[in-house]
Amino acid sequence: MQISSVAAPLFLAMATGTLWVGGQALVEARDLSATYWLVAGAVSVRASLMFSEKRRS
Amino acid sequence: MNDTLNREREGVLSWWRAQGATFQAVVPGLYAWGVTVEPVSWSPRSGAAPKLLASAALVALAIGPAFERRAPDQVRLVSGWGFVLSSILVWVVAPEPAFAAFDARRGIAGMLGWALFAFASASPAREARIAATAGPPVRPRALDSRADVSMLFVGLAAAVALQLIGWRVADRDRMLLIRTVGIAGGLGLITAAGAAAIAGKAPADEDRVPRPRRSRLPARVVVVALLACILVGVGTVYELWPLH
Repeated sequence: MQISSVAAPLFLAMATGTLWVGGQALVEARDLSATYWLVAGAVSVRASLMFSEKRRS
Repeated sequence: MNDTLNREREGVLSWWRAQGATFQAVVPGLYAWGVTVEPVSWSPRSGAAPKLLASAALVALAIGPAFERRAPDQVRLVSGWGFVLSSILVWVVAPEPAFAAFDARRGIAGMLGWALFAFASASPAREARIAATAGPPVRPRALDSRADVSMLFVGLAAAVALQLIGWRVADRDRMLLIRTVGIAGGLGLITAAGAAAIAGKAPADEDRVPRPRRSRLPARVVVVALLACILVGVGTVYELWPLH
């Protein structure tokens, strides 16, 4: 099994979790924490897309 | 009798399809405006500026179908962005008490309305073009395994879940920011889930459309993945075991 076929859904799950935590931090007005988690979420989405691209090629 | 009905139906449908993209976006646009902009701008507590901006949004929506045939690209740009920006400005300039009647149910209905408006603006129904279907039939990349379909649904569910956050936040600016972040995050998740689901299903050679190859750097993938792991790891440690 290729790493990219596992990594894409794994990073998708990671993105979901981090974006959720970031959203909650934004609701609770923890701005620094929210920014941190939202950046982590965006990077995880990017990683998931990159692994998908690799798996496709 | 049935033939007459079918002909009439086909006539209405082809007339509808013959209209431009902006015409098809009018109905969802009116619905979104009615649910999210009108109650805020015509609230007894809001002043003249929100009312003027809300009227400008309606005018922008109306000029689309009226002038689309003369200069389609320019009119679509002015109409679509004029409508969206005027509606956003209503929310920006309206005073805080004008939002008193705006609850979560209305918010969700408004989001659906704006999603329909975006969909109708971006992909209007068109007449089938003969040139596009000439040649051998193109096979769709089917989602053939249960794992692929479930990944797509998990992505969709996660995107929907993000929209559930922050409906009871009192501060209007923060609520707008949360909605924007939620929608952007949801779009990212759906894109990533879709890409992951169809990954590995490259079209057959005869269906492949030649396009310029982008350089793929495995190092870039590894660096981004590593960065995501580090960010999540550090964040988890600090959130679960605060050092202060």
